[in-house]
Amino acid sequence: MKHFSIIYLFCMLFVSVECLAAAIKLSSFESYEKQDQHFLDASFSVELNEEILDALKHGIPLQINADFEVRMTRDWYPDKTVQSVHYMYQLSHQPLTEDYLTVNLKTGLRASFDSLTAALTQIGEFSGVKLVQKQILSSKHRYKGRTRMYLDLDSLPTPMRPQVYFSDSWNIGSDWHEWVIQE
Amino acid sequence: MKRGIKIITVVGSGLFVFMLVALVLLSQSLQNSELFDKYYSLLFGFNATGLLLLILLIAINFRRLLRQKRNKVIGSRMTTRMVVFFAFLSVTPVLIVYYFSLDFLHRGVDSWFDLRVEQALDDSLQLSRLALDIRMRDLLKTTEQTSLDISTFTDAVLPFEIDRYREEMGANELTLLDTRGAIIASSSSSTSDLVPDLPGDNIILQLQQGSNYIGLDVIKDSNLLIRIVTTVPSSGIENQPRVLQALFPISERVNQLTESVQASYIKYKELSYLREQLKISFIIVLTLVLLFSIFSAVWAAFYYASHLSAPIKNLAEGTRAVADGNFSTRLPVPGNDELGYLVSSFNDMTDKIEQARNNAKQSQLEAEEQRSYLETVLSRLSSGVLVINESRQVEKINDSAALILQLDDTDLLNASIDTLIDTYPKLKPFLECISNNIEEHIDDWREQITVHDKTGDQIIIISGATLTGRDAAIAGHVIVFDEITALVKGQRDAAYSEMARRLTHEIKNPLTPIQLAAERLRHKYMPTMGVAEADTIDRMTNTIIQQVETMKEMVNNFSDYARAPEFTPDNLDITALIGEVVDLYSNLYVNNHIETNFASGLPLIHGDVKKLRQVFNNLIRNAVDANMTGNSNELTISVDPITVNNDQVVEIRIKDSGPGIEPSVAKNLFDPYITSKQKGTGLGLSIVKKIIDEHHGQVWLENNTDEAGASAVVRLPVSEQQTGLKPYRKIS
Repeated sequence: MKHFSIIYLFCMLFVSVECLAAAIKLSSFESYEKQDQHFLDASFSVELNEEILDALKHGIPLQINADFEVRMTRDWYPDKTVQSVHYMYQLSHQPLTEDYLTVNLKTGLRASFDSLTAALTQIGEFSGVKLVQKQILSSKHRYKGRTRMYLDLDSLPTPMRPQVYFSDSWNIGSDWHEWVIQE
Repeated sequence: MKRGIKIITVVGSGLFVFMLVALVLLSQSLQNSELFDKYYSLLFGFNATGLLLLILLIAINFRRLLRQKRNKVIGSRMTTRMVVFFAFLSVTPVLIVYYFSLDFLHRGVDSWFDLRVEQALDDSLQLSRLALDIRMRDLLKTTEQTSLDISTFTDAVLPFEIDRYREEMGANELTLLDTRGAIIASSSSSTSDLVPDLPGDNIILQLQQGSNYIGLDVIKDSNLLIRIVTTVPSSGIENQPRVLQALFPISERVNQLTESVQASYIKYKELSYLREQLKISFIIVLTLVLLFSIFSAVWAAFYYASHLSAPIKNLAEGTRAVADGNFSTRLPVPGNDELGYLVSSFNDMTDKIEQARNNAKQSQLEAEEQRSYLETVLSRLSSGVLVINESRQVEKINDSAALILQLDDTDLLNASIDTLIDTYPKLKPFLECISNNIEEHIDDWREQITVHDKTGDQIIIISGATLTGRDAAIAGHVIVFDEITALVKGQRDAAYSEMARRLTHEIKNPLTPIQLAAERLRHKYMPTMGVAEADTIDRMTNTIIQQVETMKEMVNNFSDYARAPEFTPDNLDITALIGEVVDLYSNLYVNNHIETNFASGLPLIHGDVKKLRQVFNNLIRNAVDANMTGNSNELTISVDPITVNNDQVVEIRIKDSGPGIEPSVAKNLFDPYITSKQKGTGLGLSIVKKIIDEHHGQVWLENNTDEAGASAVVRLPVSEQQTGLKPYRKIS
């Protein structure tokens, strides 16, 4: 068994595991301005594969983060982040009630859901996210916004990390979605 | 230490320390330490990178070692052996510890989990659920009863009644809603919560499907609450179906217990789930530690092996330098240990060797100077010097010796005396004299010998002494010899001169009165005597007068030989001179057939015409006389230019066809009064020899080898004006 563990470890290090279809994707998105402020409504569809679900059912809390950034576009240099908003949710399973508990780690607000879908829907919904005030943006520059949502692997228990870092099953984050704020 | 090695050492040592710290931190982070947990990934990455760097360092060292081995660098084989030894010494126990650690790890982690514990936790959770279910069912009944009770109230009345009902039920919050979820009336035990917690859409949907909702919920930050949502039946036209939600608290104790059970259950489940990952993580750390230990040991082995082999390498190189003759090599002393003592001793040794070598060099220089001095003295000595070693070989010879013996010094050098006797029969008396004295072990001897040659005798006086080496052993013999032929000849000539003077004074002077007296006797007494007496007187006085004449002539000839007339040399054509003499004898002795073979383009001779004419006169006359006693009258005179010992000479060969030379007189033909002719005075050839010697030439007589008769051979040096040779240079 112990030999198998070592072999398994090295296999995890160097061999790509099958990539499951489940992932986080941006399902709807709307950017708008209101009262000198740029706002965003976004909806991410979060689907967990069997491996992650198994970990959740076994009491492993999952931290799902969403990043919203406003960046200044530059020609010869990397883009510069002007403003950023981060959301961090923790999703855990409550074996006593068979509910799913979500905790907004920034506000501390907790919500209990009797279904995983409801919990994931609540996590993926963002309405009226304040991106940046118009006055901060210079008219001489170009700006664009970008967003993504991902499963934070660094928040997983330490023993899991060497495995999940190299596993496609656990890298279920969405790609950055970009849009133009100011031409 | 070289700069590169120093950098590698510092980098390696730094890496070792940092990796050790990182491994400790990594181990700490696995034990859920809050601080290190955040840096787990960083530490893991750092350790992996450090390990790769360590492997790189070892690879560099290994490559260098391979290169050194390929180039057969001194110390590389020792370094290899030490590295293998160190690596084996460190890897073996580490692998054993690793094996048992893995075993203990698996056993230890597996022992945390037990089916009975898992079952107990499941049961506890189930028990908690059951305990809550009983209370929830009771509360459902209470809520359903309240729904029936308030069904008769209109929406306008209920806000005034709802507080009472909430208090009667013992609920924290009681809310009445319409079927769309709008609040009709609400009551809460908390004054801070102004907005009631509304049921979700899924609950409303469930109610619409005809079933009540009962569940445990976590509302905001509060503890567990029991949420019960029921339908309030309609009771007339005014009262449409409505929804009643009641939130009941759970006692603090029950809450604590259920939380504890749930937390333990979750923790156990989590640990159970992480069991394999935990093992893998520990194995990773353990493997990192193993690899770190092995690679550190191997790297340290490289470092210490090169460190230890450096002085030995230096020693080997130093020894090689000493073997190549570089005694100024001094090695850096590595320390106070045995190796340092060895290197220090090596330095002392080379120091002493260098001193000794310098002394030897000095002695050699002095010996060289002495030898050079001796060589100069020997080369300037007119005496010949030979050094013969104990093997009877000629070890040393000076120029004069070669000149006296008329040989090249290379012919004699390193040659054995016995070999030389066979090779040069002419030198037999000389070499035998030396050989005999050496054989008889005479320490100091002196002898005079005569070496016979066709050109004349060579009188040599030889003295020898034994050379003694260490322990008084015979190391060789030194032979010093001088040619005293000229001296003896000079003495003889002086004696002849003296004799001639005395003969003139003592004999010739009295002869004249004797002759006069005899003639007086004839004139005075013959006329007065009778015929018989007169005849007797006549015969007697004639005899006296003739004998006196003969004696006078004899004394005159001897005086001519003993007297040395003035030598007046000039450049002359030898063929013209010989031609004159030949013409004279051709006319005088017409029966002889004289043939001349003169080479064309002959060089001039530097000599005295009168004396040389006398030489050829005597020699041709001797040849004609010899022909007269022989059976043939053939006489051949040839003149050729030849080279003798790099000297250009003219050789005149007068070949007769007479009876040849008798061996008994051959050795002394050039001595005065030695002749094979009946009428000769015995001075002709002596005069020839004397004149040729004055011309620094050579003359000898030899029997013809191909036919009867003998040949007189004269060699005269060529004049300097044509050849650049010095005049009067003696032909060797």
